[in-house]
Amino acid sequence: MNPLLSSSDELTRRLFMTRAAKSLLGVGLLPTLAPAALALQKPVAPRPTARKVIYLYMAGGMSHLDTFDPKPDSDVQGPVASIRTRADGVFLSEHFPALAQQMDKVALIRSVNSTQGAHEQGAYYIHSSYTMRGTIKHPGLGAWIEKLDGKINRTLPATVLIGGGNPGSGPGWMESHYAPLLLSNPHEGLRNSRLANGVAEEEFTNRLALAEAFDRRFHSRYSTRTVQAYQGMYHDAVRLMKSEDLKAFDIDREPGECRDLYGRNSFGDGCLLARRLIEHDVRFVEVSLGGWDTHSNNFTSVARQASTLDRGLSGLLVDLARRGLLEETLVVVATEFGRTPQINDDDGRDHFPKAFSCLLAGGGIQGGRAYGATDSMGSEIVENPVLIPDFNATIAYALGLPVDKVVYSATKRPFKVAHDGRPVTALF
Amino acid sequence: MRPIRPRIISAGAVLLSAILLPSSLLRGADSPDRNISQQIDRLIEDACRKKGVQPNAPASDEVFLRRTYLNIAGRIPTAAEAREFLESEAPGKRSALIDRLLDSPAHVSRQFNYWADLLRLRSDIQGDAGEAYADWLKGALRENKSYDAIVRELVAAQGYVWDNAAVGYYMRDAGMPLDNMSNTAQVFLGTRLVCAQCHDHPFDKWSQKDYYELAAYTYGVETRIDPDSVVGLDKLEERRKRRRSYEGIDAHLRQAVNEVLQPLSYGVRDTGRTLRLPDDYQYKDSRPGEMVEPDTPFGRSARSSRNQREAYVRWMTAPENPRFTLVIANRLWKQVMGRGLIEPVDDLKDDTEASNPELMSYLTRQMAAMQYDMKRFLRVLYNTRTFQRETTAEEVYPDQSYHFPGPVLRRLDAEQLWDSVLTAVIPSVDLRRGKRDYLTRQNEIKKQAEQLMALKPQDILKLAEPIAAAEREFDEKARNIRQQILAARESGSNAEADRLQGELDRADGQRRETIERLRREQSAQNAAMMSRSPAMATTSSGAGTASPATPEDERWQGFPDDFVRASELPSPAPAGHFLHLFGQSDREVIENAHQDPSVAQVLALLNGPLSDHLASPQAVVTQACAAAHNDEEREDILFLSLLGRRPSDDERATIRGQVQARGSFDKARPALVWALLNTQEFLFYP
Repeated sequence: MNPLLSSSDELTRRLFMTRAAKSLLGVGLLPTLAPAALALQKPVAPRPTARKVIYLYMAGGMSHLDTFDPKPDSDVQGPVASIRTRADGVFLSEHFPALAQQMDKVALIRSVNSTQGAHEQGAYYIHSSYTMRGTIKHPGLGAWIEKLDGKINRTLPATVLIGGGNPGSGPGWMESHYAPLLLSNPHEGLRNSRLANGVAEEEFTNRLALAEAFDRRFHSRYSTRTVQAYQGMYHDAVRLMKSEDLKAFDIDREPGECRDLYGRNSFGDGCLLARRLIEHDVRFVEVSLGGWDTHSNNFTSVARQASTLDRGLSGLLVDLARRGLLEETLVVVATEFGRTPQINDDDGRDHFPKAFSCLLAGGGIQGGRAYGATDSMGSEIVENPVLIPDFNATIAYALGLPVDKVVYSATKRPFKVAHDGRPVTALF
Repeated sequence: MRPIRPRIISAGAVLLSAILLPSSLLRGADSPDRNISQQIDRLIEDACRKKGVQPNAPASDEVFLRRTYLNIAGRIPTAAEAREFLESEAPGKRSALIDRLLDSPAHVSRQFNYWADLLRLRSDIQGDAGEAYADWLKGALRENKSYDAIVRELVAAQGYVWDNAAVGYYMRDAGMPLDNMSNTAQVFLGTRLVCAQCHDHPFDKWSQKDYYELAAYTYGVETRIDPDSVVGLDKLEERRKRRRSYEGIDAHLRQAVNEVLQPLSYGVRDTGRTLRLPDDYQYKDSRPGEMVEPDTPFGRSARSSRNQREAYVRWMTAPENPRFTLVIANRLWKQVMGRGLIEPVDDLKDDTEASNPELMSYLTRQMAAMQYDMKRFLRVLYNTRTFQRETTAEEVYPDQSYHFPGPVLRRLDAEQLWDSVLTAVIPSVDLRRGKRDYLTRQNEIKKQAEQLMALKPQDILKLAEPIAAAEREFDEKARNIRQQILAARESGSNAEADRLQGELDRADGQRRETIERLRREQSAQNAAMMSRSPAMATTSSGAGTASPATPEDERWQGFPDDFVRASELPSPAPAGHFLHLFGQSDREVIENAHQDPSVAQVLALLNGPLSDHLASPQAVVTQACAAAHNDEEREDILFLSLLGRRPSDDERATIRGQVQARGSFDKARPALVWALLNTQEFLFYP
């Protein structure tokens, strides 16, 4: 494919289309027909509406009924009330008062369907678009973005996972340099990126020179590509240590008002860190929030987790919007499956992959609406089903990634960014 | 049903291993094995001559030392070990070192890492089967069990984890019998069938039918034993149903029975389950959903009406199998030289040709003639001139044909790197063991399982009844509280609802405690009943209690608990661990380890805690410096400890400059150690 088209520059694309049209139709021969001819031409690659992704992952399986798809008039709802939002006719559960004020930016998807009912398998599926196999590992979206479209910031990794890696979010069969950077704690920053205790900058430089002196003999004999790659990596690491980009990892630089906006908890801080990383042109940042596996005491636990999500997510949307970053940043809320409409004996809900909710915002998504629907019990999809690969194809589409492009693993097996998913273009 | 036990697969195999000569008789310069090493060198040198390639110069003692330690022991030598070898003038000291290292516990650790990557070995298989399986593998390597016997025991494994931990081979892939078969074919037969799982293989001759026929041999392997059938509860239920007097076990009792019987589920056995072609089967030779008869895709046919798995294993491991022997010969060659005669090692096709076909076929014959004695085979390879030459200084690309003028340059793999750093920090690092808590747990489970097996179905129900009663009682209480919670929430008194929630949580805690207590009491009662119970073995098969060393040993006081060799840590190491960072396999797919660079690795070496550990007063290298007589000796110790060689004159001058600037050797030592750790000479081995 023409790299110009996949590299997401709208102006370049238009230029190309105009040129293509001119060469096809003859320059200016039929100027009045040209726009119609252009419209007939299917774009080779979709028009990217987003450059980056902030992916909020609700680990454990978020109850759709108690969050994004409430059924106020049904027995299955339990004690949770619904509230109005800024989007006409779209209701959220009462746990999302802050998000309700941001609903104009948000498209809920209430008709997601997964085929995987266990945690690891489900998380793997929604992260990679492929079901888990014992013979190959599939890459996550971040690795795909870098593979198909490259990095923007060359110093920082393309993908950062905050709060631990989820199944299916790694480099899979791709080369190991597609591996995401893992940050287990948003306060920790980038591990080992600061000088060790007791080593001053001058001492560090001295030690580096010492190492180089000791390595002279080895380098004079062996300068293979792999040895050189390590030499290069030392340069990169030292450059990163001195880089302005390192500040991206330091949320303590944010004013207190901004910290408050995100809720001042680990997840909220993760969302804030995600915004800083996006500002420094990291392409894919995932923040995980666990605690959704509510087999018992569903209502107490969901209330707690939902309020954390409400603060973090709405804070993120407000902050991205006021910085003008929301247009180029697609915000995703995803989970491995929903939970049963039936309330079990332990006041809990069990795994329910058949119908559940996710959310998209920013990055060219038309907000203020709910796409797809479930029946009055939240147990069957009755409108616009979105399969897991379709959901991921939609994210890929927003980024302008070619969803039909086949990439081969080293073992010569064919793969696509969202498997055989089709993007839901109606969301744009 | 009686307890199931591993079956002896083949009487022939037992006989063969019984007549194997003790390996010590085969050593020494005059042994027949010396001739095999020489023949290998001739075949290599012939090929080089034909291709116009000059074999590399013989490697120096220093290069040989570090390479041999890393290859066989999986770590660099300590300064003392390096000095001992380099200063020795004994003839045949290289062969002697090879022998000593092959027989050391360090070699078991190294080989374990290799096999853990191949077998995707995880510690976290249910029922502690992962750790038991790891210990089984270490035991097999320690006693140098022959390769074909290891494969037979893995692929034919059945029984309970504590009786036969090799069942971990199947439990690793619980619920994925087809994937397990694909992996078996790839690891032991070097054949990739996986594409044929869904359609005829696009780049090879395998049809989807071939795939299903091979998979049919092991499709009936149950990776979680159904305990009802072990104690005859299934029969009892059936009988009750037939008499129509049975109203079904209620949900509480059913759950209680499941809990009581759980210890009986951790194992593997054969069921008669048959495999059918998938519903979307698209080829004309059979219909979708048709039952598949087991058959082999190449070599001799292996049909058996009696025991399919036995027939399968016999076919796979037979010396006549065209791929079985070749694969292991090529794998071990690659382990020694850094590159296979056939690459990739596990994608054989009918037209695959080795870079040196004569040598490949010679090695394959030798492997069979040695009756799959891996240690003996490795000893032969390590004693070749080819292994003992300098490495090729130029990059050898994957698609380039290589004629082995010498071994290739390698980066230390994650485990070698971790173990090497520890070598300079932890005394007697090879003897330090990791935690083995699972043994106590597993003995307890085994005891329970044996007690349960001796009971009649009615007794099991009786055992479960008090537990079911406790569950029932709790449920009633909980329903009551939950109604109150709902009412409280509806009337808006959230504080009251929260208080009630607390009450509910406490009640749940009590329920768990009660059940735990009941189970303990039952266990004790049963033990008293079963005076005929055999004396408990202390470990599962192969679990090494041989080493007298325990982590409490005073040699290791003050060192972190998890500063043990990689093979003693949970597999795989968690994300972010040094091992993970440097490319240890995540155990998801076969041979998933890598040696690719990353910024995170370099940051860990530059600013991470390891250099502090290397410089700590109690570190092996520091202690050795302290015991030295003068600074020149200390200079030697630092270089020998990390690079396995003495410093050059230039390097001595550099060190002295640092010592002078900082006032003493001891003050310069942390910077010197740091610098050596951050060289590429440390990271690679020629």
